[in-house]
Amino acid sequence: MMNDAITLTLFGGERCQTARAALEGAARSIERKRCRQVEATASPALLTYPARPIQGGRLELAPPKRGLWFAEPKFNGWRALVHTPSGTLWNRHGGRLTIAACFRDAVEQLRDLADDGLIWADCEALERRHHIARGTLILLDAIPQDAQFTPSYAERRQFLESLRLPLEPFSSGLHAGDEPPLLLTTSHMVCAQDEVLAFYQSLRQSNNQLGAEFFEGVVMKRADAAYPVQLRSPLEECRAMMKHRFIT
Amino acid sequence: MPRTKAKPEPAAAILTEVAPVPPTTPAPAVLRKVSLAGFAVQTPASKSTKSYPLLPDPEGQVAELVTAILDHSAQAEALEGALELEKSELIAIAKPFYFAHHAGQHVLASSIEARAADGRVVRVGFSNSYRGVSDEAALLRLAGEHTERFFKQSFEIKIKGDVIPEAAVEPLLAELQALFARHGATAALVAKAVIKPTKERHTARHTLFNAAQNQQLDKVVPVSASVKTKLGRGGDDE
Repeated sequence: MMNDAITLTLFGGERCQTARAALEGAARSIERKRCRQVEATASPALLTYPARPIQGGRLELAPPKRGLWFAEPKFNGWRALVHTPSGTLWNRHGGRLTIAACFRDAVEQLRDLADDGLIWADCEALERRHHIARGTLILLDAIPQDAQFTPSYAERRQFLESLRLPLEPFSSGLHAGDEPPLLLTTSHMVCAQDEVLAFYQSLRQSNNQLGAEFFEGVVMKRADAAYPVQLRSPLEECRAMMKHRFIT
Repeated sequence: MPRTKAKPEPAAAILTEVAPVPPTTPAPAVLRKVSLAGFAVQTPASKSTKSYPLLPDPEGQVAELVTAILDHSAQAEALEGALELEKSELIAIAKPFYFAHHAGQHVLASSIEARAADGRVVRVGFSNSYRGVSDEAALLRLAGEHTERFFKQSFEIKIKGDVIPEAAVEPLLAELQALFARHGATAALVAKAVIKPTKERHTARHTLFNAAQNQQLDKVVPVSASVKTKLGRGGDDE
């Protein structure tokens, strides 16, 4: 490595490219090794598969729901479950998120929230599907670590809001390009079907403004439901959450 | 949702009859049959090209059907979602009643009836069928001394028969049967076998047989056909 570094200054050009590639390769290797060491020493076992909403079809065709529900945007990204103290990320199948390295800054911010009680964070990881907010984690939910503590969605949302994270601005069609790497999803209490339909349509318009398929629809969450902590199957659907995509 | 699994057939291999072949094709001399022991056969994932031939539509009936399928599929999906939600709500209401009603009883009703205002009725069934335990510690805490008597580990081992070297299939299965018999576990070994086309046949049939022959063959071994209404990404996550 040292020899390569010297030839970099002497020859430049093609040799320079080779040296840079070698250095980058070595850096990646060291980083991978460091990650493995961290994982081996600090990673806990997976607590749960991320909650999987049932399919509700297009919202304009769906009958109104009974009871109190909240509506959140459905982001076009990758589901990620984060253990904040260790910074470990899992995908929705319970495997390690292969693109975890893209979210280093966001994970660092999540680590700081461990002291506030956010140990397990259910997030959407924005990367690769479109050009907007790459490397950003959108915090969707907080999962209680203690199986006997089962707060409702409304209580979990209250907790998330108490963390004072910036709200995602995209659902308003805004995208300054300098958003912080960790954002909290917006959430709207739904009192009537036309309210959620208006929100659903506004997300469609936001996609037009953003010039990307940034939102896929809405995810509705029942206000009184606990987070479904389970390791039976990643395919198990949660009947207290329902997704309505624009295109089904 | 947990996937439903086909129940394995009891031992003794079930072999379907050899498919009759079109008259122009010589019948195979031998169709090898082996006695299988307890392994489901998985269909290899199909690979297809990314450009698709377009179904001709000289009279416009295809376009009509496609429109109807897409519209009805969207309506059905929205209604199915709503129905699933309503059923889960009713189950959530019925469960506490089911447990309270049967507390201390040995004879159980298999269902609870629920009635609409106009007198129509649905039944909420509670069958002797359970999903796997998600939290063993919680189970031990809640079921206490009854845990050992009423819960036990259940497992299945699957063997992919089509990846066993051909020469090894029969001796391996014979040894497997003998092994289970030696441990008094013959009943644990179940087998299911069907005659299926080989992986190569899906493509090869179009050069080995003409279109009419393939139509005839399809009556005996129908190709799996489906109408996909969702052409984009299946899931939203990694």
